Amino acid sequence: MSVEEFNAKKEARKHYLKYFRGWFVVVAIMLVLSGVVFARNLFGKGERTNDEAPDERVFDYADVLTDEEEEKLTKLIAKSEKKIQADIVLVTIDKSVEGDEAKEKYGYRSYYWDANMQDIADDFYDENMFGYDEEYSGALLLMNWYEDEEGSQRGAHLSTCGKVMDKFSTRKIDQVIDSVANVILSGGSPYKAYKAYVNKTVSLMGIGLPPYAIFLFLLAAAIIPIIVASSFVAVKSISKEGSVTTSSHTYVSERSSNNIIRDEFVRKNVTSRRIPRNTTSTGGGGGGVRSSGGGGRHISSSGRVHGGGSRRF
Amino acid sequence: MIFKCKNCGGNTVYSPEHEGMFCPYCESEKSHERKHDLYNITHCPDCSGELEIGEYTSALQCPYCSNYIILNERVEGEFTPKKMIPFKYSKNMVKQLMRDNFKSRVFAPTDFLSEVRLNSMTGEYVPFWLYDYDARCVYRGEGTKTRSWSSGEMHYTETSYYNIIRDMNVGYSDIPVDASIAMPDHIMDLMEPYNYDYMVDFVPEFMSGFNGQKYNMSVDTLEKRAIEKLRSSADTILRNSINGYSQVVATDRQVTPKRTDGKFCLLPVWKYIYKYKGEEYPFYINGQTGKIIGKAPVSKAKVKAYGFTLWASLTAIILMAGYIVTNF
Ligand SMILES: [Zn+2]
Ligand SMILES: [Zn+2]
Repeated sequence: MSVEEFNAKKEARKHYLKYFRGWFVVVAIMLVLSGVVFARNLFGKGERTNDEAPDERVFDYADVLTDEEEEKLTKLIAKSEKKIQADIVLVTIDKSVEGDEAKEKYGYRSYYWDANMQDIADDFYDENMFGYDEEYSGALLLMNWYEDEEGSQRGAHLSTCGKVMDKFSTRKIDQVIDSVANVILSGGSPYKAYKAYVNKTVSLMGIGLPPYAIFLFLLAAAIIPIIVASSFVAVKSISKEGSVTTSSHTYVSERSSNNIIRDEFVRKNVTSRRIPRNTTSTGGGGGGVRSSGGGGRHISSSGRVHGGGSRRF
Repeated sequence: MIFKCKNCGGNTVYSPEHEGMFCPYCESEKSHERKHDLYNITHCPDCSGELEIGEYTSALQCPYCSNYIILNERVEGEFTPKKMIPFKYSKNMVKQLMRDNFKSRVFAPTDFLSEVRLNSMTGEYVPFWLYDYDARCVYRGEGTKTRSWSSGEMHYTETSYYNIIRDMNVGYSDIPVDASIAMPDHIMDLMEPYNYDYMVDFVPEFMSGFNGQKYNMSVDTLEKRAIEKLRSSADTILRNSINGYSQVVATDRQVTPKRTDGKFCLLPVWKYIYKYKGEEYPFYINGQTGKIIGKAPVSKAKVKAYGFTLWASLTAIILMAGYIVTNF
């Protein structure tokens, strides 16, 4: 390589670095930010600050789970709690929570299934001092398996608190209960249903992006740079030789003169036709409803604020 | 002939910056003196170096002593240019023009605008014929105008018919046609327009410092290109004189040009031939107006490097932004 070539290479590199300086700075900043976020997620996520709650998470009073299943669920929950920084509790019961008998015999506040399920769930959560942090973040699924000759009281209530309450709208609460109901209604085992509860809670507590949004994002990340880069290349490669800068009058001199400029009217004719009738109509648009966190917010008997919702199935 | 400095004996040249003769050696102005009035030379009158003289060359630089030589017999007699436009842009000014014009071309090879490469450009006095014409333009046609309106349930359309008659005398002066085989016609057309207000009577000393040619073809041979230009102009003028019709059908259209003059002139052009990967990329710059004609070459390596870098940076930024936003 000659000195000249070497210098040209050096010059070209200098141009290149200067041209992309801004881009490289942005990439570097993003890299640092990503590193910070990554490190924080790896080490910095808060350890559990609440040590008053029991270690137990699965309270199978209805006895629908085997010991082995309980153990597996407990392990899954332990792992998941760290991920979402919130407690996940499961309580199964098998008793009537509806009607005169329930109110009188068990001393519930109400005659109604929904209200009582909510009370039981909230109270259980509060009495056991559940909650990952100072906000008592966590979720508790209360599932009732009671059935008698008058009918089934099978159904579940999800009680949310702290960060989970903030994040879970009524729609998300329904999604969690649906995930449980779907397994049971399609003949799946209680264990599978509760596993679905844990996993659904984790996924809804996560980034909150549905799979199609992630797909769209990745699609955009794949396509946009290609479009931008190829149009950059296309625009910068366009090379015009030069354009015509003369007009029809450039070389016309003052010697020009108009002998005749005449437009003679000859004749005219008029035609007519009937205007066809036509009608047009316009349609209206619809509106949408947006939901945010805090679905079903209320205050439990202990005075703590809970979110929640329930459904029988 | 060679123009020499009375003060130092150096080769004086026409300097656009000084708008006159200048000695680059002792910086004297108008100190020129005509020397070596010789005919049919084959060697440099100064250093006796052998000259490579092209068939139409009228001015050239001696490759040995770098003096600018004007060939007497090719700027005299029938080859005397009537007029010329002296260079307004010096080499340094054109270099700056080129840099300004192409600095946004990031894909151009690195040395495209380098000092060394740009220094290779040469100033050329290109032979042109400037034609004057009186053109009679006659046009006859039928034009229609339509108008429509609604009244009640009826829609009416009125069509009016007109006879269009045009008879115009259009005078043309100084339609330029280059008389150099070496210069591509379409490029020379793109060099236009020149500002004839600064045209001066030919003096040979203004050629000193530049290359030059005598006309390669006669005024009659090249007339057809002038008439082509005239016809395209006349057609536009006729068309523009007919307005307001929704439809026009021509029944007669005649443009009859009568040549009233044709003069031989020298017009200034800077030529920069950039060689890249075995190909030539010619650039022509109007020596009077600075108009640049030429396509910037594209370095494939640069396209790849820049395109890829942009793509990679953007992809990285989007992915990282997504990661940060969703994991914050
Ligand atoms: Zn001098
Ligand atoms: Zn010489």
